[in-house]
Amino acid sequence: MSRIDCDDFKKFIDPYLDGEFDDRERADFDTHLAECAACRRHYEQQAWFLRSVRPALQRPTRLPPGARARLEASLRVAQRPARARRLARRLMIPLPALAVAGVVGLGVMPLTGFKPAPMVDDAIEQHCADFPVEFPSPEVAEVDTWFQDKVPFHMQAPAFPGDKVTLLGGRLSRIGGGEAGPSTRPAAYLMYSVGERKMTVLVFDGSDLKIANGEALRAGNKQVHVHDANGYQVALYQRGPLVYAVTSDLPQRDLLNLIGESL
Amino acid sequence: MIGRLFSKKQDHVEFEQVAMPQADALYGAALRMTRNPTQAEDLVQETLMRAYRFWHRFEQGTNIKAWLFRIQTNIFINRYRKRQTEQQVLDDRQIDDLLHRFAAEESTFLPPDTRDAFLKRVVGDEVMQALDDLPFEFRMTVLLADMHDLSYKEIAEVLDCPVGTVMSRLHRARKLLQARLFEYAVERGVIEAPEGVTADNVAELDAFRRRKKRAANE
Repeated sequence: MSRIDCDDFKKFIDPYLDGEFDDRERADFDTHLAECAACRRHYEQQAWFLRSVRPALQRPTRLPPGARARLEASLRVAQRPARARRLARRLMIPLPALAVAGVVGLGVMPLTGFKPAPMVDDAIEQHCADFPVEFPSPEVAEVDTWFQDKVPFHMQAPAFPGDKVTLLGGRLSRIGGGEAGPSTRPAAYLMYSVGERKMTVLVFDGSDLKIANGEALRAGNKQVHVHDANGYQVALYQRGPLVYAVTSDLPQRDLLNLIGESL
Repeated sequence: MIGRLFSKKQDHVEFEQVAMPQADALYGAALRMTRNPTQAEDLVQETLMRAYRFWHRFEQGTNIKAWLFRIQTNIFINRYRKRQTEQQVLDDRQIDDLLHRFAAEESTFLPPDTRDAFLKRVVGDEVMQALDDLPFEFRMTVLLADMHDLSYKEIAEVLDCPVGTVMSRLHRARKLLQARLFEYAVERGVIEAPEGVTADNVAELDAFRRRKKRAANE
C-alpha cells in the first residue's frame, strides 16, 4: 500500500522530479506512480515540460569582452597592494610612487629627459582602483583652490556644461614612472559621474611633453589622442602647460563629445 | 617589473582558477536579475571584486556557484533592486488570475501530437520573456534551480530562506512559467484555450505586453 495519495503527489512533484528525496521517500512516490495512471500522466507531462524548457533557459551567455577586460584590470589592481607594501618595506620607497610603478605602455613622448611614460595604463589602473576622493566637491573652483598649495602647477579642473556630468571631487596622485618609481610626477586626480558611469581625469604638468601616440582625433576645438585599452577609452589632450588624461568606459563618441564641450 | 620579483600569491591563482570561470554564469544570472545589460555588467564586476576581497571565506569543496550567487544576490537586493521598483512584473492580481485560469490539471495538458508545435512555436526566447515577467523571488528560484542546477539546500542558502520556502516557490514559479507559455500557445493557435481563457483575456495580455515593451524602451 502506498503511503501517499494523489494530492501529496501533486504537491511534492517538484522535489520528486528534482531528485531531492532520499531513497525511502522516493520509493513511496515510485509506488504511488506505479499504481495511479492519472498521476503517471501528470508526472510524464511535467517531466516533459521541464526537459523542454531547461535547454532554452540554459542557453549560454557570455560576459561581453569589454566588461571582462575591465574586470581583469580591476583584479590586477586589487592584487597589487600586498605586493607593493612588501616591496616598499624592502626598498624603503614611498608607497605612492610604487602605486604607479610597474606598468607599461606608451602615451606620451618626452621632449627632454623624461623616460617614455606609461601614462595610459597608469590612468586606467588609477581609474579602476576606485580611490576615495580626499576633497569631495561638485564645484570646479573649490577643487582648483584645494589643489593650489598641493600641486606644483596652476590647477584648472575641466568643467562640463549641462547636468550630464557631475564632479565628485579630487585627490592628490602621481602619474607615469618607469620601473624605478622616482620618475613619476605629481598629478591631480578628479572623479566625475556621467549618469551611472564613472569618469576620472588626471591633470599634470606636461610642459616638457608632446603627446604623440594614440588615435589623433578632434573634440570640439581640442586635439585629442585616444587610446582604447582593456575596455576603457583614455583620451589625452594638452591645454597650455597641462596634460589631461580622461579615462572612462563610455563609448568613444560620447567621451569625445564631453571633452569637446568641456572648458 | 614588480610582478617578476615575487611569485604570484596563491590566493590570486586559486581565485582565477575557481571563481573567474563563473563570470559568464554570473552575467547570465545578472541579466535576468537586472534585465538591463549595463547594470548586469556592473553587478558582475562588483560581485567578483567582493568575492576576491572575501576569498578567504570561501570553503573549498563547497559549491562555488552557490557562494558567488549569494554575493551577487545580496548586492543586487541592497543596491540595484531599490532603483527597480518601477519595473514591471506580473502583480499579485495577474498571478492569481493566471493560476486560476490554468489551475485545472487538464488546462495545462499538452496532447502528445501538439508537443512538436509547442516546442517549435513557443519554446524559445519566449521562455526568457516568461521568466522575466515573474516577480523577483520566483524568478530567482527558477534561475537557480533550472538554469544552474543548484540543490534546494543551496538555493535556500543563496536566498536566505528555509528549504520549504524554496520548494513552494519553485512549485508556484514553474506553474506560472507553464501558464505563461500556455498563453503564448493559445495565442498562436498551438492549443485551444482552456475554459475561462477568452479572447478578452488574451487581448488584455497583449495590452500588458505592449505596456511592458514601451516601458523597457523608454
